Amino acid sequence: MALNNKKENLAQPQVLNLDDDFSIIKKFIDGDQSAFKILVKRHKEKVRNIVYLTMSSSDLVDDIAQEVFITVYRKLKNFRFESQFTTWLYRITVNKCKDQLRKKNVRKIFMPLQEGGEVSHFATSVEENDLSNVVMDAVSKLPVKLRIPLLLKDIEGFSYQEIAESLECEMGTVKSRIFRAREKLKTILEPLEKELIL
Amino acid sequence: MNNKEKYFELLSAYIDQELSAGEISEIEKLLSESVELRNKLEELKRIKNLTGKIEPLPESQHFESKVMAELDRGQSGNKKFKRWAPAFALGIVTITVMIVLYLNPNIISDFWKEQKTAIAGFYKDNLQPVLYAADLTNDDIFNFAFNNQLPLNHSRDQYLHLGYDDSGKEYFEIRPAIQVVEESGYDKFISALKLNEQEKQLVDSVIGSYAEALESQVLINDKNTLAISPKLWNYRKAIFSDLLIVAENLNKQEFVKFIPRGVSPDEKIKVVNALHKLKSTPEKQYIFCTPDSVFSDDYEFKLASIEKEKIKMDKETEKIKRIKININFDSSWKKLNESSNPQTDFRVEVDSNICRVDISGYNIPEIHMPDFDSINLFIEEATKNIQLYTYKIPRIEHLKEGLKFDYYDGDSVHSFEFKYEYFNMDSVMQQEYKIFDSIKNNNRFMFKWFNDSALAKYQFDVDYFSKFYDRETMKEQMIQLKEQLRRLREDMIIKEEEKEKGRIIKVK
Repeated sequence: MALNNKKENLAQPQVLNLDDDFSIIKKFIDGDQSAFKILVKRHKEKVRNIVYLTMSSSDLVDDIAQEVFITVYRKLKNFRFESQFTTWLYRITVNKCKDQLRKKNVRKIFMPLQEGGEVSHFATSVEENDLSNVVMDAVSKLPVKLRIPLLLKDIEGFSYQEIAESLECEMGTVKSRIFRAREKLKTILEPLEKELIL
Repeated sequence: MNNKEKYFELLSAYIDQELSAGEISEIEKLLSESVELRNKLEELKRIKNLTGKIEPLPESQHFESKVMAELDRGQSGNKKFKRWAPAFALGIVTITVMIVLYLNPNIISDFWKEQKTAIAGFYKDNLQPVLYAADLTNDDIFNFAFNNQLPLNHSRDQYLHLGYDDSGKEYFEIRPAIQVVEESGYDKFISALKLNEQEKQLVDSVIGSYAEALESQVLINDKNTLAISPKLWNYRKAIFSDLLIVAENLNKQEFVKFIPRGVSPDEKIKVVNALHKLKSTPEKQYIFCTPDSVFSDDYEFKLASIEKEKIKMDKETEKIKRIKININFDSSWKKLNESSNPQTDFRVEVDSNICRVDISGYNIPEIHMPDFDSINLFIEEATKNIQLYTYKIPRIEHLKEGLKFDYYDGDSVHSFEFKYEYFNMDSVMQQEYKIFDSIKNNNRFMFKWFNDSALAKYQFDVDYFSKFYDRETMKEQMIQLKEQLRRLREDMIIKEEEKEKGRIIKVK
């Protein structure tokens, strides 16, 4: 009985389905290049959406997403199977977006100021844009460190644990940032309160 | 963080279903007790609901294929290379150029030489003697010797003007007729020497003997090239000297008004030798003035001496007569000034009226006339005196104590002096007007002022003018005069005061 208890306490070997991420990665490591295509196909939309939401623009989505998968391709042979593939993939995605945003900010410093300053994309009334765009505009005004956890939660449906792993931070931090993001978003959307029926 | 905020944060996690069972029961208990918390919960739910409204991107159908294609092309590695490719390329090109230059240091100069030869060949094609086509008259040749200008075409609407700058270096100008001194200098010369018709014919024949020699001195072609033999400056001196010798032979009595000391036998021999050498040496080098550049180059031009060839020439002449040097007097020529060939250092100045080429870096070949330099002083003196005599410009000499004027009236020379101590404003001003009247009435100073000209100073012939009259000096003198008048006025006031006091003043 005691032996049985011990057995129960031991980590059980994971039973892999033939089509789960780990199996596909193993196939790829074993030399099946087509396996990578399956991985891309499976996760592309999630990656593209994270890029879109993080960058608040659809302009560079495919370019950045492509860079993400190229990085994954190069590093996949060293994947250690210690965490979910998606956690690792989203971490790479978020980091790529952060890199891009950093470059964008540097570029802004050296770009001559446009006449009348930077034009706000924020809609002045709901009629001008549909609800999705209005909210997207408002979200884009959030600082990146608040925006990313909020979107990963509310749009991608990640758990706090997954978000913490993707962003390489504590769960408490994620909880706090999501709350602060909502508070700030409320302030941003206040001028449109009536239309949005906040 | 206060308790309220802590509970709000818990509410946010509550709607995300991220609370533990214990936390859920705690927050639900609090919610049942607090309206504020319930309101906050609703608010947070509305916000969450709104963010959930954000629409995802439309699906990308062929994304994976694109990624795979990119991977297949090995673009992942090449992207970095692509980014740095221009820098790599530039580096490689620079290194290659450096190696090539190191191994072949003369490659650039050789290349330019080749280019220069090719361009020079283009502009040297089919050059024709423009002065032959212009039908030079005795007046033209005399005008060349005495006023340094030659017509550049048959219709005489363009002239070549030769000159010397302040440092004595030669320059030439292409001027429109409107900018040229118009005067019948030859007639004045003959009448000043009081020559009869027979004697005039003799001078005519001397002048006429230079017509043929001059014809090969200036060439043009339909590529807008003007080629000038550097010997032209020497020819001018030679013709000028020769005419003086002839003049002395014909009427020494009148000639001494030009050169009181006359022409020495030694100078005569030098002139004759120089003329002989000039005429017997063929033109081997020309200065080419083209729409692109000014350069000197070897070029041999033999004027047809056989009558048959002359007939051929006559056919060509009609063509030449139609050619007009169309130097583009525009801003592009100004670049020539900046990018003048350092080897020959032709300096070009152009405005809408005149093209001036300073040939300060180019040596006029004097080697064929080694003794000619020694008669330069004689030529200079004669030029000055002839101008003085012929044009009747008063000569003004600046002395410390005043001004001395010499002016000519027929055969007489009148001189008088102004002494500063006797100056009064009226007499000075009156004299000023007289001088200017005399200048104005003389054709030599009938010039057109340029609106846009940087060359106005040349057009005004400031060298000539300053020989006789210096405005700056006059200005200084006027200032001094004013000062003297002021002192005089002060003295007068003192005198009046002294008078009032009954003193007797001795006036100097």
